[in-house]
Amino acid sequence: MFSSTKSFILKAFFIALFLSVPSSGNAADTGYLDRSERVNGWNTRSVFEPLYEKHRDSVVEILEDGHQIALGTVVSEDGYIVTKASEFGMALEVRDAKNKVYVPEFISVDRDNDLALLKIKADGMQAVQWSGDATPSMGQWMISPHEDETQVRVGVVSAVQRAIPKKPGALGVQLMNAADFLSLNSFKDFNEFRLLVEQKKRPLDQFLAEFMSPDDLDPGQAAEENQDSPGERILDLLNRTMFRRSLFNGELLEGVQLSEPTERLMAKEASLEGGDRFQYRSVLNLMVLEDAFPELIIPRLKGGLITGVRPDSGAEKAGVLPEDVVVSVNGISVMTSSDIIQIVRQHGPGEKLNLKIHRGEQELVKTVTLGYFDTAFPEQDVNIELSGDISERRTGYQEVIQHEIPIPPKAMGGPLMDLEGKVVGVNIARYNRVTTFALPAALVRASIEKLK
Amino acid sequence: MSRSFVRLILVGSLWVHALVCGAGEPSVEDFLETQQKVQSVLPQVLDSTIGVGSGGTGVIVSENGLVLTAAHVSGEPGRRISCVMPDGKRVRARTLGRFDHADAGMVQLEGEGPWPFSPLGSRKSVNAGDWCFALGHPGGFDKDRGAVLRVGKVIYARSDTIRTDCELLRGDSGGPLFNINGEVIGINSRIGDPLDDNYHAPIDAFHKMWDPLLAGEDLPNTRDRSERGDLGVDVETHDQGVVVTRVRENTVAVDAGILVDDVILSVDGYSIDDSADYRWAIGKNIAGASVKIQYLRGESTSELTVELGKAPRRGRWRGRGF
Repeated sequence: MFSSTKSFILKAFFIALFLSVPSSGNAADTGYLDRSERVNGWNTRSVFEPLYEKHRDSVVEILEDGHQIALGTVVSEDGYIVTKASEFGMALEVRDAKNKVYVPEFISVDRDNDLALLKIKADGMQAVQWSGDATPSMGQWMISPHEDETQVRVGVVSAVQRAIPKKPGALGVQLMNAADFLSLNSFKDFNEFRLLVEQKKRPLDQFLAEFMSPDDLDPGQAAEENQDSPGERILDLLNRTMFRRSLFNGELLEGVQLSEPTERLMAKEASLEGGDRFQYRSVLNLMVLEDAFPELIIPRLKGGLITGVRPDSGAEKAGVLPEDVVVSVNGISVMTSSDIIQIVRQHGPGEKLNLKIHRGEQELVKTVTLGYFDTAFPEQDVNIELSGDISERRTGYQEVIQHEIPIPPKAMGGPLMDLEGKVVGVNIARYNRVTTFALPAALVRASIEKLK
Repeated sequence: MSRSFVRLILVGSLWVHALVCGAGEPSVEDFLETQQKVQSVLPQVLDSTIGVGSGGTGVIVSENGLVLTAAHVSGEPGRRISCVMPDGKRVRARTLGRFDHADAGMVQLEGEGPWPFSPLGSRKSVNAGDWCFALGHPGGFDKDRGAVLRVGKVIYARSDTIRTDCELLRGDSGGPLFNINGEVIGINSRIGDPLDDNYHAPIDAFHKMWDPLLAGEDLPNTRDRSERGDLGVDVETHDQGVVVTRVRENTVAVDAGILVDDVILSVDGYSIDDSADYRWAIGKNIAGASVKIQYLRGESTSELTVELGKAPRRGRWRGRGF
């Protein structure tokens, strides 16, 4: 008896001591706000725990192969649950607040709103209380369950309620015009190139002399020394002469009109690195060459040359490889890489495209599921690059509430509640390191009625 | 015996806990009061939050169109740039001065006022634990979305930076940080990886450099250690100001007669609020430069002019042992 009292008292002591820790980090004393006292610090957010606790039973975990992939919001006492649709396949389980696991019946999916309706065989579930139809205002505090749904997080509605248009999809590849890269390599040897130029009554040496300084190597000699492929030899030659003399000096070649302003070409060239820079330069050289010799006909290939495939992209999963040449997309034949990009941009993430590909002598058809451009190329958008985990589908919603509650993608499908515990929306997409989108309650309820 | 001992500890710890409660235990009411205040000033401050240049933010702080932004958004003084009003209208502007040390920059809108503007917070008014909120155009100006709001708390405030848990993104740079009364207390500057690692140029840096910034000056940064001037004292920030805690041997401070416990008030007229201020005001000079130092000794204020020495070479191991 005594020992149990003692352990109780000791326990009380430890709890009290624990609670008193923040005093050492009190702002007024040290000029430094302790982690626990920040907006989502454990001590601050603890004020919302009693409120959340009352509604805790309305939040369930959605499991796939035993792993949590999302949260679900209980919308009726007889076990209807809504969650985010895009995150899962079909093999699902639902775990309720009492850790009981159910195999749900899959009712239906509303692809437009990214919502799925499930039903578990349970009675007396605690359904959420929906708020009225009033739009929550910017600056209003909201709470939502974290990925670990025993915990709650807080944040404000951070922007006006609005539609989030669907972003164009992306293959996840780097492309250039097959013609631009391959045509120089299509000369059998350097002499063929020389012959072609000289047939046009402009001796190659004379042509090159126009752009060379006396310091430059004798091109003929350089060509003989260089045992690379003819195309590379030509590129090398051009790199050392024309390109440097013209674009590097920032001056247009005399009598040569480039189709793009030199400044822009140079800026672009300077922004590239490694292989990209080399390729871009070779394209520029070709432009200079063609501009200088409009009569020079360089063999052209049609299509888009894949120069890079992004990891985890739709293209990689479909087995597209670098050096593949894309010659048609969904049956539409393409001449240049911009033709391909134009077609791709008419389709959204998640849609499938059939690419006809030339790989060496083979002709293949690959079906690629489009992804997001910013996922495939995170370096293009710092806000995505810094974000860590974000939702797979995060655009294409007819109306969202934007808020700043810090919750991860696996907390999507959970409720967004006001400080009265009324549900104003269902979290639908973690957009970046700060932003979450929730579908407004009215939209969710209308969708449920349709799905039932 | 043992029971009374345990009781004593329990009482003692409860007393400590009571003290914490007294020091402002968070409450739902506190959140609701914050919400009410933020929402009451929001329409006004949203009107004055604009897009600056390509992908930055700024805040108008005067009727005649003076804009505060980050130095890394405004860039070089005297540039012509374009700004976007909340309604999407574009306005031409000219960049004024910048203060890289704090990442503070100014821009002047061109064209007819009066412009909607936000008031400035006063000097030394920002404290750790204060509620605050940030606005900005993350990812660039978006007319349908408008500026995005983040509400948080001040983690610490120094003369060269304010850290908060208002979570910032790219594009928020140059946007305003407000106190709960809707006064500008900082300008969004940069972030670290953790979500509560958000830094803002403090309004104090603008206040102190107001005239040079307005005049379009490009204010100097601290110099490289190899050429940086040095006075030869260690300082700490105390309540009464920046206090000399050590005068190093064989330095110009010894010759100038600076003593431990002197409070450094200003360097070349720039008032010194904390050790970060001191480091900049001294460190922007090369060794051999003359600086005028105003200091407080006991009750009396004095001034001396001293030629700075060379900064000591960095020791092999620095920092606190723990």
